[in-house]
Amino acid sequence: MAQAKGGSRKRAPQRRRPPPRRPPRRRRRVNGRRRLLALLILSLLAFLAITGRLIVLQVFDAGSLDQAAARQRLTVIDLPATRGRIYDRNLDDLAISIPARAIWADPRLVKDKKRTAARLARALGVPRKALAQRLDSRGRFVYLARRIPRTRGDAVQAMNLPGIFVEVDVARRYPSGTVASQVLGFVDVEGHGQAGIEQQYDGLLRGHPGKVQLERDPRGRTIPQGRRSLEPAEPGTDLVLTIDQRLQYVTEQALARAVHDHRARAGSVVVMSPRTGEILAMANVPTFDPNQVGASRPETRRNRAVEEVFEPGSTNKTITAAAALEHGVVTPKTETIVPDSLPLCPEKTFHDSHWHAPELMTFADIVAKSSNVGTIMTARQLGRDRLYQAEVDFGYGRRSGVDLPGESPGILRPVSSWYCTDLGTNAIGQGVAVTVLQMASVYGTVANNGVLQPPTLLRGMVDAHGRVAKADRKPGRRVLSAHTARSLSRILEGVVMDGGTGTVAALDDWQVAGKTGTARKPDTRHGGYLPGAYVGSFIGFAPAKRPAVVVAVVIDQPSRGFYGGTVAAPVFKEVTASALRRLGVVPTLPAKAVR
Amino acid sequence: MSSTARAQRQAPRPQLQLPRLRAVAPISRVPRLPFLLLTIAAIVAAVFGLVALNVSVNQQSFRISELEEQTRVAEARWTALQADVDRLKAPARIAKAGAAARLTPAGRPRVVAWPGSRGRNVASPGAASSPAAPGAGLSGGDDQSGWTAGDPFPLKRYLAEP
Repeated sequence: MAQAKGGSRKRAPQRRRPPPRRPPRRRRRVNGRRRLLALLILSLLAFLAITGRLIVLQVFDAGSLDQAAARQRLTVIDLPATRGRIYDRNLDDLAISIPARAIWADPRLVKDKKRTAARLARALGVPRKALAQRLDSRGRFVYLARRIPRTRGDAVQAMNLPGIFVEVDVARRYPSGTVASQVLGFVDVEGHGQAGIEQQYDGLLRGHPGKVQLERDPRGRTIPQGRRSLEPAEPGTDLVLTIDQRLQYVTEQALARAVHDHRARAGSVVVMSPRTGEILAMANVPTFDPNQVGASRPETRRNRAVEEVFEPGSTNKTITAAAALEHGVVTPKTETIVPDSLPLCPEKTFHDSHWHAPELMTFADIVAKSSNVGTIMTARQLGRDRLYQAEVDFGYGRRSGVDLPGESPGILRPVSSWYCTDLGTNAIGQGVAVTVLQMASVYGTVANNGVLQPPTLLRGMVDAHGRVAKADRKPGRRVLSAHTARSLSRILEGVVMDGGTGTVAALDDWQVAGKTGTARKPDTRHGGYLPGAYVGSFIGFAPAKRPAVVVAVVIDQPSRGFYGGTVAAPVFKEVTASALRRLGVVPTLPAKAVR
Repeated sequence: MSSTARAQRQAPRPQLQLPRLRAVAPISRVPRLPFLLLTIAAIVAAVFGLVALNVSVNQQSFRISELEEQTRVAEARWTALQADVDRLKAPARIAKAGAAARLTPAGRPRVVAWPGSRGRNVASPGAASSPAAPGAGLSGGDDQSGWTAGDPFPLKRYLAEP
């Protein structure tokens, strides 16, 4: 057996060893199951992970992710509200808003800054250097031009410059230029009112901006059926002023000529309806063009008629006269011997404007000839308390409430702090300071049979249907009895008649009542009065019997002549005649009614 | 061979119940192509219809956008033209144009008093009226009763109400 085995080995020495046996079938099955189990577990884990993540994304983070997606797709475009128009009383435009464009840049996206600046400079008419400087800034947003005409903006957009963007803007325009500029005011770059009516009624004029939300594709195109919501802008309210644009122009021209001819520092005119308190014109010189605010000096933008005060001088004698008549101290025919000087206090003697011998004058003559001494004598009889009260009643020392910002209340010291001389100075309009508008209201009260109608510039507002809704009016306040007002009116008629100080103001076709004023100008730095500096004024109304307009003219520091009767009265005459013609008032002087 | 195997071979075999055969008509093959084409056509028509509907709706949307843009442009143009009109109506420009045309300011108003008019101190009939005095002859005089009765103030007639 052993031999046989050994022999067989020798016979087949080259025979290969059989291949290794496969693992038993049972073992293979076990390994496969394990792998399947592992795969199942892995799949389950992966499924759980995906499910968990989905829950996080769809449930917990759904809101924020939805918003993030919306931010990517949705574009919000602001719709600027159109600022309300400002009309004059005839519904002619005084201020309008027109569509414009603003150009802005993201300097980081601008590729060739020099070339871009050069191209934009040509299109916008702006110096290239200025544009280049702005494009060199580090921020991601810089305005290159604002409120430019639409056509220019569209031309820039057509250039398709990288990093340069065009957006909708609104420009404010004042078609009549300087006309009523200080009344209207102006707006800043953002379109907010900065002065005048624009500032006073900014809340009404501004309106509410709207917005439109659009869904856009990655190329920026609007998806037609995408999400879209529109919140329309609410335009501002249109305002109708009491100003008459043409009368305003005539007034400004007449005032500018007077200021120029008399080499005055400045001048103001207020034209008012005594019955309603409506201001028909309010002019100031120097003036400015609200379309080019940047090119104007700050002092030209001030509405002197309401923001600055002056000592009224003899025009204040109307208040003294009114109080004296009202309290029965005098009548128009009361006669007094009037010297040319009057020592009122130990340290102060008052003089008339020129020397004259003691003269028998009626009270009407005292006013007509503007006698300081005669007026102070009457004021002494009246007493300082009643004089002070009259000034308060006529609105001195407090704002009239006109629709303008920055109104001055004037300066009226309380009677308890009056010095010995204050009775005399107040009686003749020195030592008290008022605005031109306050003085116009004083004469408006006399013209309106003793009722002070608060001055106003707002006639109404235009509603959504284009109808004018009248503005609320403050009620009038009686200051004088109608009898006193009529008596005073007749006295003031004498001022423009022969022998009066204001004959230049007389009109050919209408009776005029008014008063001249020539006041020394206070030295605000050193105290006292400026030598040789005067304020000339004339304030009056016409027709005298049934007044339609009150006109107050004040010329500040004229160099050629200074009496109110010579520097201000001619302006009064021109403006009043224009106003009465414009208002269609029938001439009241029969002899001259027909030519 | 064992006796058991021999016994099994000699046992009677069970009889099989075979189904009865009968003649039937040959099965005709229905052509599938028309059905396929019809289905495809229906699907294409449905898809095309949907796309057409969508395009139609989108066209309306584009049209609306286009019209809105046209409205905006027209409004802007209107405003710009209005600004031009206002500029041309400005009193300073009219005065300058008038001076260039050698026009002079209107003179004194001339008034016609119609018989029976309430006005006093007005001109006698026959005088020429002036366009500078609208409403002349209807107000004026020194009738103080007018202060309380109605509103005789000339501005009332003069005001422009839309």
